[in-house]
Amino acid sequence: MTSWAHGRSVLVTGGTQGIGKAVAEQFLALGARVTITGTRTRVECYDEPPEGVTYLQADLTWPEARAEIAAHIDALDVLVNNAGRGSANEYDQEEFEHVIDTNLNAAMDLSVRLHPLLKATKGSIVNVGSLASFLALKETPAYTASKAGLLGLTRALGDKWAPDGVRVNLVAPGFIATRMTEGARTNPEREKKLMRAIPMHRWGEPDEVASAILFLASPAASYITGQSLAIDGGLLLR
Amino acid sequence: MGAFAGKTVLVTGGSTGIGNAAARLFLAAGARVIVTGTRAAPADYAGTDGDLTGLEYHQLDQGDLAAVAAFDPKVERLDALVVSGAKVAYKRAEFIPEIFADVLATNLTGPMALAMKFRSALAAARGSIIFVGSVASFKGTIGQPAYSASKGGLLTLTRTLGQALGGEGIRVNLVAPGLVRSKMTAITWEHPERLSATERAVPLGRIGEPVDIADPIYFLASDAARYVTGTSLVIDGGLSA
Repeated sequence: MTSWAHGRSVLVTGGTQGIGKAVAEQFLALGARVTITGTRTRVECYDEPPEGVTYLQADLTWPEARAEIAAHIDALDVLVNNAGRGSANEYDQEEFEHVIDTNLNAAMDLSVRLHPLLKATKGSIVNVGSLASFLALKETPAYTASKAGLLGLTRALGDKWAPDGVRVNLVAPGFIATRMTEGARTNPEREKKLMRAIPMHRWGEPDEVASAILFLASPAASYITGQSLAIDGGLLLR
Repeated sequence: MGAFAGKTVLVTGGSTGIGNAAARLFLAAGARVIVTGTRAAPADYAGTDGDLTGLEYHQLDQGDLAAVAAFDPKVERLDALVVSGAKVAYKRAEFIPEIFADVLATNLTGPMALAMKFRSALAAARGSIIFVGSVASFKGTIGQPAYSASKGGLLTLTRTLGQALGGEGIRVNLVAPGLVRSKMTAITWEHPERLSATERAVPLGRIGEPVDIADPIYFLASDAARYVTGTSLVIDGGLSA
């Protein structure tokens, strides 16, 4: 049986590691044509990058890089705005703005640039938000603001582009076992405290977020737009 | 082999509409599917949108606690409990306290009773509960105080049971459909002016079909959603975006 994603074109920003990599691999397994972005010169610069993808080097913080990506893409069914970062010093204004540029401005810019292609295929966008789309993370005001901003962006673009048949949704991962959370996972005391707060008492896996992203991008979610889905083992309940 | 081969699914209100569409998806995926409805026998659903072929049918008034207690579909392990059965009263009837209580019994107290009745069977299968809420889980609907209160209650019940049952490996989630073409909403979609006003308000430009909701229910019950609990998924064509 041919899957819905067979032969479809997918772009995953930040697709070299963690959640983005899992998304790329799940789409590849369904027979999709997958393009990923990463900041390093070549895809080989990463440990175990996904195989069988087209790699584009781009630091999405910069508008020129976003324009270049859009110029490389000639057909698109699914855009996954996954690339994101935090900073150790988000109370520094310059750092704050860099994080907002990467996490929020880049998602808006790429979505607008690629909208004509998505309109042509009645495709969809999935933005990767966070618990921080809903909760305050006081040490990372830029990350929090960018992810809450992505939620608002998801709603606005969902409404704006629904008449074109382009759906826009967001996933909000909780604590997922990726490089970004390595600090907490290797600190037993912090980890214990975190696990107590999660009703399912465990870390999520990148694959568990990816499967929700694929669902939202699929025809099974054809009446869902402008929405958010938390994948957090119940963390937001507390 | 379907993804639900060897698994058991119970869908209340599975004789018509959203519940029936969900039941058929699980059946197609290989599950043993038990459905409940209010009528005496499957034949009584002739002429409705329900297709009961291949489903195990039980008559059940889920608002009657004694009936829920006596309900015995013979399950030891339950992989998914989908609570889709619900009622609504029109023409301001829900402002009458007795009718308010009756709607709450079916839409909120009954779902809680079902969740508790099947708790151990769900835990045995590390299964999940999917409540069918509504966009009325999040906002008032001026003519339906009971329906809105019951669906709002289901949302917080989902959150509470998500916390309470997480340790047993039971996931609990809610889908919140917008306007869907079903028996319950015929009063809206069979009325051309109301239908076109509604369609204009929906960004995706159409009302939902039962299968638009059944697909997400299937996703939430599936392994693909194994880290998702206590959450709600709005399926409304962007109406509330």
